[in-house]
Amino acid sequence: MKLAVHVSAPVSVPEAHNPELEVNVVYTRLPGAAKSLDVASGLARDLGGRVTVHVAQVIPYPLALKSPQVPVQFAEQQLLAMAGEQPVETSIKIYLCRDLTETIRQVLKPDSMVIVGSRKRWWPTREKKLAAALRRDGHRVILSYAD
Amino acid sequence: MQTSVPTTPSTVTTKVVVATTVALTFITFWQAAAVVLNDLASTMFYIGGITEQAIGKPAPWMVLGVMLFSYAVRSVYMESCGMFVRGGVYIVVKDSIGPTVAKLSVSSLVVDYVLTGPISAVSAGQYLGHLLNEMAEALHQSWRTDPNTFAVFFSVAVTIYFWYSNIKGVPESSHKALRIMQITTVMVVIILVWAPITLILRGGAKLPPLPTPSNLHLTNESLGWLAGTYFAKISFVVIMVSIGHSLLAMSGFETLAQVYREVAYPKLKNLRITANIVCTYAVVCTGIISLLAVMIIPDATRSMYYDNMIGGLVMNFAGPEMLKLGFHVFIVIVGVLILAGAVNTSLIGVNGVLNRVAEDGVLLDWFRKPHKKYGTTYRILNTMAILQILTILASRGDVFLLGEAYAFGVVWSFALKALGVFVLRYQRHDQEYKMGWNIRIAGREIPIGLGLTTATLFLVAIANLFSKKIATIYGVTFTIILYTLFMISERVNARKKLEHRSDLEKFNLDHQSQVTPATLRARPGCVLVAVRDYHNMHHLQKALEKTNLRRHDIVVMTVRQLSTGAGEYELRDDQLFAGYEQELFSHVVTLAEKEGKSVELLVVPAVDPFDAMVHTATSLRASKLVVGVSSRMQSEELAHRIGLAWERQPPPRQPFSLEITHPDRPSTYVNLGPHPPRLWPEDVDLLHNIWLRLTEQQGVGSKLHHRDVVGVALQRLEEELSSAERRRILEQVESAVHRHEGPGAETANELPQD
Repeated sequence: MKLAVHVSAPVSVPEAHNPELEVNVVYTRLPGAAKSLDVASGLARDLGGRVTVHVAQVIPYPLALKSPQVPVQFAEQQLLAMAGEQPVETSIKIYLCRDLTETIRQVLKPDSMVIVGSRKRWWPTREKKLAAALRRDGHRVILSYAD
Repeated sequence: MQTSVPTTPSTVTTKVVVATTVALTFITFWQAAAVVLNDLASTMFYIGGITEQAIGKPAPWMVLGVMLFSYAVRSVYMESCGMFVRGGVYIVVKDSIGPTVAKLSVSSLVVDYVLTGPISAVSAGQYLGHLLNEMAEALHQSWRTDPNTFAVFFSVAVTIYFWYSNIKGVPESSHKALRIMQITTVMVVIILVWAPITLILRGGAKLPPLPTPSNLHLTNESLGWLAGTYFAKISFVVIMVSIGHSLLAMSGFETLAQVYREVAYPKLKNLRITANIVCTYAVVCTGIISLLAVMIIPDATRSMYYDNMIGGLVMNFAGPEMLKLGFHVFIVIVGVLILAGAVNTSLIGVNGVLNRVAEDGVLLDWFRKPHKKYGTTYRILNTMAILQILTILASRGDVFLLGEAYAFGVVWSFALKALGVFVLRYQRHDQEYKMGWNIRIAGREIPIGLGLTTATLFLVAIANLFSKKIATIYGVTFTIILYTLFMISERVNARKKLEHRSDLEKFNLDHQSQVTPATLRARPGCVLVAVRDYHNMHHLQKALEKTNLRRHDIVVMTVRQLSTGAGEYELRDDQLFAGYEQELFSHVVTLAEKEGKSVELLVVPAVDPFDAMVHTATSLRASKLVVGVSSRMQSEELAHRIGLAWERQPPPRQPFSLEITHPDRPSTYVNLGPHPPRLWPEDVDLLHNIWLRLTEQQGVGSKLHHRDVVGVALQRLEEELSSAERRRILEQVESAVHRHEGPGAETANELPQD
């Protein structure tokens, strides 16, 4: 005999004061992501806004776009665990794509506030290049270093 | 515990969102061709030398012939792509011939991928090693390196680098493929200009002998088991064996099937253009350059350049030595770029193929365990990298040896793919594209072109089976091991599936728009237990032991964590209640059965687990919420978060008690919402003393209660907080907090248990 499991309607986080204000966090890799999310959350909390996390997962050829190297569930679980500990409303958007910069440029709204998680390196990393491209597009970009 | 945050919003129910989207970007035929050519064109760096060692001077004609034959293979791929959006060999063969042959085909494809890495890396190492020697010579240095040894070290280093890069799962942008092909094209154009100039300046250039049976000089090594037999004298067999030694020039065509999905509209037309660009490019850069190499490099010295034929070609051009050396450096850079790219693609490809078959249950889940930090399937990558490194070490840097082994995977995956497409010609009638040369006899279509291509590939595969000892031994052994692994995995997975089903409880989902005591059959005042990890259920165990079901019902809830965003849609059952929840609640049921107590089960989809727990406790009018201590969060922080969630609830807020249980020490209790405080013993004494002193006063006497004393004290405190005394009071509050910190603080929070 099957047991009954009650399923409630989804419970959401209450809306913040100024939901129009959105702090975007862009990750290119999961390790070290928590730091930039903390920075974004702090900023969003102080400004009464919300956080949207954009993760562009680049799928190399010859893999199919729906078959990423890192399973989507893994990335979702890690990000959900991180987002669950934040004091502000946090949305997570994962994009399976072929090109990191192009995808992020397409999904950001004009004049967005963006925090790009990066590692401190003396050479131009992909994150630094992405930040530069986003600045050229007119976004307000902060590089957050995990180390 | 009471907390106060300046929030006014209410907890609401909303629809939820897709967190993951496939950002499909369509690519031009140029980009698609570049992706395929990154694989296919890399063979130009080693095919000339390998083929000439096997069949003699007519080798370039054979390579050219194979590249022309690639137009036919192109048509096979186009026909399969027209039926399957993603028509890789595994899918096509599985759909047409069945899972057994599909396993064989995927085994040969894995052999192909496993060997692509070593042959590409060793070839790049050979080019680099030879260049270093030439530079040393140009600089009049006595230092030399053994190219084979150098190639082994270089290849192992390259393999380790790309293994680690794949473990981390940080891929390069696909645009790099186009950039590499642009640089390669520059190299090819310079060769195609400089080589004819050299031929004109030197004069008397001779084409290599035509690949007639009399000109093909197959050594005993290239005839393999056919050497000395009757078959070695049959011209047709000799031709087939020769083609077999040249066929690996086509390696990399499988990528064409992978890029089809992303080719822009009109898809098939653009795929045809892509395939034509690929074939034409391969004819020019692999076929023509191999031909020029034999025409320009003198016969006496050509054997020195078998491992770096293009390098040898350049060093034999007419012109100043330094200019040739400079161009040689450029060629090596291009070679290392394209060949190293092929090493990376081989790891990505084999990982993708094995993950794909694992999804079909043909590979043990053990292989798919994600890396703890990066989430990649590190066991597949580790296994493949180890196999590649062992292959490199076993080859001792000999490209010819690797080429011999490599041919097995290439030819068998092509042959099985063509057979699959041929069978589908009779099974399906939805081909958007059909390979040419079809005739109708008695109303029945006879696919002559497809049949001839399939037959050729099979004949070459069979010829290879007998002529390429190394390939056959390596390939067959590897295929048998892989096939056995697939068979065992399939059986283990099937058995596990059955056991899994019988082991876990079956659950019916009962969707509730509102969670209330009535809908859940839990009386107000129930005990709500939040569970998440079935390895950490001590708090449920404690709650089951302590709760008297005559007084309180038990509701066990889990939060199905969701994310918010755009593109709202209703959640499916499998999104709300997946395998993990089934396993979790099966453990809950087992514990409840062991204790002999019934529980109500509840799944709450939510973005924030704290909101979900408090919202549910409030909706059920629970008397207590029980949670286990979290490994990620201290119990004080956990209580604080739940307290904040309680404050966010819309009024009227249901007060309840929060119990945070620890496996090895007493639980921590916190009251949520307004509640009578439990005073410190010294404060109780102080209160009593003040009360005694006040009752001695006239007009108060026996009518005065302790609560009146507390009430007056609180009123005075409130007034003084707005006065000049505020600073001093805050200092006193701070000192009181510090006084009560320490080991005894937590037990002081304890309440009598139920």
